[in-house]
Amino acid sequence: METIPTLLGAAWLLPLVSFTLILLFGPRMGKAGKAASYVAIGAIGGGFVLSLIALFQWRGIDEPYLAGEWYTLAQFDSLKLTIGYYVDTLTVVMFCMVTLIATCIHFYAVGYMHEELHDVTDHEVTLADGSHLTRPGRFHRFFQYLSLFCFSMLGIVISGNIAMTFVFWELVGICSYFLIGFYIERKSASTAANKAFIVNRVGDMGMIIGLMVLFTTLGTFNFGDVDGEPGIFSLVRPEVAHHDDHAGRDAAASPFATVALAPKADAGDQSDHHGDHTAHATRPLVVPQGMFDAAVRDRVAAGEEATAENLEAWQSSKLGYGLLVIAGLGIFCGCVGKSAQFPLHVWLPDAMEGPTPVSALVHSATMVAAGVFLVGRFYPVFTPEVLLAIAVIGCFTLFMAATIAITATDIKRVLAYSTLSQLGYMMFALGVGGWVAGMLHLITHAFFKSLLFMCSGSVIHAVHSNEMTDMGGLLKKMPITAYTMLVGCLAIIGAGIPLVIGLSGYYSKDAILAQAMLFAEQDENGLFRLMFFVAAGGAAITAFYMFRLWFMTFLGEPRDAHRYEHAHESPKVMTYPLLVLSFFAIFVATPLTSLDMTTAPLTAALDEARPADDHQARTAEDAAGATWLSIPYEHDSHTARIHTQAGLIAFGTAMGGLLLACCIYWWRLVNPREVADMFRPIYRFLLGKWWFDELYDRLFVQPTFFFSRIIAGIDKNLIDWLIDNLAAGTRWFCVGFDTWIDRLFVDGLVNWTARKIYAIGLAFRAVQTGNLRQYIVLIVVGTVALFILATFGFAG
Amino acid sequence: MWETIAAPPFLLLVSLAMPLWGALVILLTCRNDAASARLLALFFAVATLVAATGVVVQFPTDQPAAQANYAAAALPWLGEATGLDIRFDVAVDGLSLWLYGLSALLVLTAVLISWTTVREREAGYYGLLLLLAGGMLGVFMARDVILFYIFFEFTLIPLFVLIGIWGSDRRRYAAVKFFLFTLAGSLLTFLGLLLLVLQYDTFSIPELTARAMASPLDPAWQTAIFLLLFAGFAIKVPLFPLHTWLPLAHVEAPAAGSVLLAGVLLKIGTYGFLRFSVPLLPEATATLLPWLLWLSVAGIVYGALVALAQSDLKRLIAYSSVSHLGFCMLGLFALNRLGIQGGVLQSINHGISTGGLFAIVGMIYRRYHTREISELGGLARRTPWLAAFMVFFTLSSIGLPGTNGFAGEFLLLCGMFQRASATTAAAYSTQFYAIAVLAVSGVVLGAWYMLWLVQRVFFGPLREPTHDDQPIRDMGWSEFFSLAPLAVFVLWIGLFPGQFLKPMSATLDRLTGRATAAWEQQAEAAARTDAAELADRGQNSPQRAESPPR
Repeated sequence: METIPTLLGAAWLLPLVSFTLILLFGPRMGKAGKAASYVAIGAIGGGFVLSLIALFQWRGIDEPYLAGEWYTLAQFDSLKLTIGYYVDTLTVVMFCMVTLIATCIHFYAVGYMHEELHDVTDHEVTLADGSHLTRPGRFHRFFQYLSLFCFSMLGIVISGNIAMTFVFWELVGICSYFLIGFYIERKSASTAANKAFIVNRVGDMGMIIGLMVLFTTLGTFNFGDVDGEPGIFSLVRPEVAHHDDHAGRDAAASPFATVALAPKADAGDQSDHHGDHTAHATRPLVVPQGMFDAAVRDRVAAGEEATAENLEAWQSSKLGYGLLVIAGLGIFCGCVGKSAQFPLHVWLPDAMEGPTPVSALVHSATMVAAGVFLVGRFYPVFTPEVLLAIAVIGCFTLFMAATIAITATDIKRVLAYSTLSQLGYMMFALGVGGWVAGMLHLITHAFFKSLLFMCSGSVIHAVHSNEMTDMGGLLKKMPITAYTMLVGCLAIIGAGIPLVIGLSGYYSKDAILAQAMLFAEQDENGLFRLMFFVAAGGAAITAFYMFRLWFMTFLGEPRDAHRYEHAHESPKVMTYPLLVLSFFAIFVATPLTSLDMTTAPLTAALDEARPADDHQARTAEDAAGATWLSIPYEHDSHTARIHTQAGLIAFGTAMGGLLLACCIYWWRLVNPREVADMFRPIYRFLLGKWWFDELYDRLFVQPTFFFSRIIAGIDKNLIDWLIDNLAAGTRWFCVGFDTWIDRLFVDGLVNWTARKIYAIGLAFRAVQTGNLRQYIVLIVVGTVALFILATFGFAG
Repeated sequence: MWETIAAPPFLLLVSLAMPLWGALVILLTCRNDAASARLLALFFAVATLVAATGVVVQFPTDQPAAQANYAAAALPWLGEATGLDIRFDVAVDGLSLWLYGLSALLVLTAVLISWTTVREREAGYYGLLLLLAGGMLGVFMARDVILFYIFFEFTLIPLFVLIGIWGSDRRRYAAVKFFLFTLAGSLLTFLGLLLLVLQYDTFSIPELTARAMASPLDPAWQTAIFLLLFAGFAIKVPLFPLHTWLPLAHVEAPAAGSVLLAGVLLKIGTYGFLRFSVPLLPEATATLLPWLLWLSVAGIVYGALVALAQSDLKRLIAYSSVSHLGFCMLGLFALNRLGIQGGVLQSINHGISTGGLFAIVGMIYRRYHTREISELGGLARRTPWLAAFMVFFTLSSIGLPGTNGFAGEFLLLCGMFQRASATTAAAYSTQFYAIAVLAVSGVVLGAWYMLWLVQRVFFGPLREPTHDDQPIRDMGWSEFFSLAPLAVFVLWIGLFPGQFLKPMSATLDRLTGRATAAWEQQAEAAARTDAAELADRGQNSPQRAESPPR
């Protein structure tokens, strides 16, 4: 049983070994460091094999999860920083997905980055003398960063506590920084790298606050129970815990143990506890003892008394709930940054400055999905209010990003906005209670989006341009790329025969829409219904911009004859990974035995991993005690009615979008220019990316600079001026002191003394007669006098 | 034989004597011989480091009882002549251990980065550098108030001369300002120390601590003395708004001066707070705690914002020091284990990473004779190793996990949040949460100004000022070996922070226990006052009157 963490741990550490080797010996690995790629591929490929073995072993294990610690970094009385693991089905599935895609992309990168094997002339950097920059290649460096990235990403997935997650969270951030800024000579690249890191730091600020709230109130960072110590999850949902004595022991440790309320409540629970476990009744979210205690402390400090009945009343009023909300929102803040959700989405499109394999691996399939993954991992802790916030943010992002993708002409940026939009779908799904739907979409999206990015990279590799206005008619030149990309496009729009079978995206998108529909029906609220329509409409926009991209790239007349002439299909090392990924993009979520989508192996596995398994809607009450928000239970959406409706709506909207794209870009029934002219203001608004960059620049960046310059001015001129003047004043005072007091008084005294001594000297000159006898007398008298003085003066 | 040589007290004395003796030798014999001055300086720096390493590795981490008198060596000294019990008494404990080790390490860095940069009056330069080193090491080992103060001032004079002679254009102004500013503060501190000595009738610091713990002074007295001590220590740290001497001194100082100034001399301030103010004046610490925290967090945000506006490399890093030292102070005054240990660790970290950054700026200056960010660009192409080190130390400075910066920052933020959450009195808890959140914002700003700096100077197409003397080369061996040990420690502390925290924990607990207790009492009293007030108001209000009595 303990072999699984060991296997995954080894899979996790292999890329670190590869990173270290390339760091130390990279330039000496084969010709121009070419062997570095073999090392990196070996490491990640080995990781994939180990993950697969772990996946097969996992099927024989009954435990919902395995948790443990490998190494303790530092320990204080209550704070323990450890490297540990938390392995459940989600962990194992994510491991397989990440290592598989990363292996494909490593192979692909060998072909894509081959220019880096010799000196590179960078056409995007023009030097002062008008020539282009030439620099040595950095082939091994690229694989070094990729390995470090894989290590960090797998670290997030395997992480057993939220502090360790944060550590690797930052590490993937810095890998992303290095990879976006791989072409460091390009100003746009290094600016994008900075932007990505700093914007992420803003999200991390929220995450730190969330972390600290959890730590100060619960005293642990662990997700699961380790060595009998309760983790965060079982503190929030004690009924799921496997150790019955938790609540009792916590209460004993709490400062209000004397009142002894909690043990009583616990004893009450005890009777139906086992009934709960088997009958799958309710497992509501509770306020953990630590948070309750913290809130009680505040109450007591505010003058209320902690009597038994007060405590009971407070507990039933969910005192401390606010802390749980803050913790959830804080953690979600970090996810917003990493998964590039509104309002921190601005870094992702710029991140396309990195080489295309990086965009495929880091900025679509894995790292940006880490935010969604963490929301999924932390799901038991989120209160309904937080889930609603997640849903709203996701919904807004999916719509906003989709609209921007309509007008973008840079092929990678279209895909970047599409990624934003799909990540929005995942967040939205999680927010409305569709845990499996969201995670399923995370996996399927990883496959088809990395496929799409790699296809776009293959095209860019052929025509040496990112602009779709330079492409066209490439279907004949590069058929494999074109058809695999078509697979990707069909998968992302969720193509399929409604209610029967489809590509992977068909299943995940259906599940999301079904859950959204249930949510909209269950809560009689205009906003919730609107969110469903936005998500459904988003499917149409997705279909439109994806096929706009495909038609503009592969069909029609070549727009740039010169580039078209030189275009060619990519080498096998690049096209084979495309074929592998398109296989998974089609089949990864297909049910094998029946038409019911929930029986697909992947879906079933994820359903097994549903956290905290609460089989009831999560509800939130307002001050009056009325339920105002209810996040539905996911299995409730698996009814034929909802699935049929949602499936048909999804199919209909997607076909609508596809048809529109065909009309405009394939059959040329309408000229896109005319459409753009017709809706000029909207077109410009979308082309300007909703003007978020400009808005943030005016709202945050420029004011910060302005403010910092003012402060720097104050620092330089005012504070320093004060101090200099203080010094000058002191000096002036001293000078004054010198003239008036010194000259009159001190100098006077000194001069007077000097004059007197001079006079005495003159007087004594009379004694100096040169007469030897007189001298001897004087010496004798003096000695005797001293002797007398010494004898009588001091002895007494 | 070996036991005698390896005995900690002996090694401690050697590590103090080596730089002082070296200074004497160089000043007397190498007047016109630059090469041997350099070599001798290197020899004595290495000897100091070896002796100091011997002291540090033998520290009895697992036996807290043995730590109190570890490596203690004492002589009667002035006692006989004056009739006062002033002794030459040195030792290291958990608080001074790492600061002492850091000082010995940075002396080597300082000598190595001066290797190629200093080209005039070498004998005097290296002599003063070693003299400064002796003073620094002495401050951290002194166990007598007078001895401490002598070393405290002793660090001042060599640096004053170093800035004044080997500095850049406005060196005179900078040197005088640095000197007067620090001297003014330290005289007040001395007065405070003397008052303490008079109260407790001993010059010995351990004895003073023991007596102060047994019978604390009257709170009003404590506050007065605290403020006197504060004057000197806060200027050294420097705490906002007493920081204006720092950027100037840094900009004008030679590279080695900047390294030692940032790496060690600023830490004397934090050390002083922990050695004297907090243990000897616990009630005053508790009373002034919110103010101290506000000053620290103001320094964090202020330093970061001003750094963002700088156009001079050295100035930018100098202001980043203000921000980072704010973090250290925040940790100390969180007054719990996490915060204090995090704060001390962070002050070591700052010494390592900012020391490294200043050394790198010195290397850039040596090559281009400019520190203007706008005149430089794309240096990664010309000097890849230098760029790699710069990026590395930047990552440490912005607190990337795996580097030392993360360990310190994370712990002290944990400490601050813990303090905020443990404080229930309404008057304080809101403030403390605000302080904690503001401090976290410093993390964002820190990443902003540092990464932006790296981008402008090292990335992009190559842009160099015209330089006619010699071709620009990447790092030489002396430069490489000046930074490599620091880089090793960046990772070592980052990956195994426990090893560095454990030796200090017992001492720090002992020194700060009383202050923590005093603060907790005060906060509890405030909470009770809150409660009473609320109850009062409740009884007068009509709603409460209507509710049935319990």
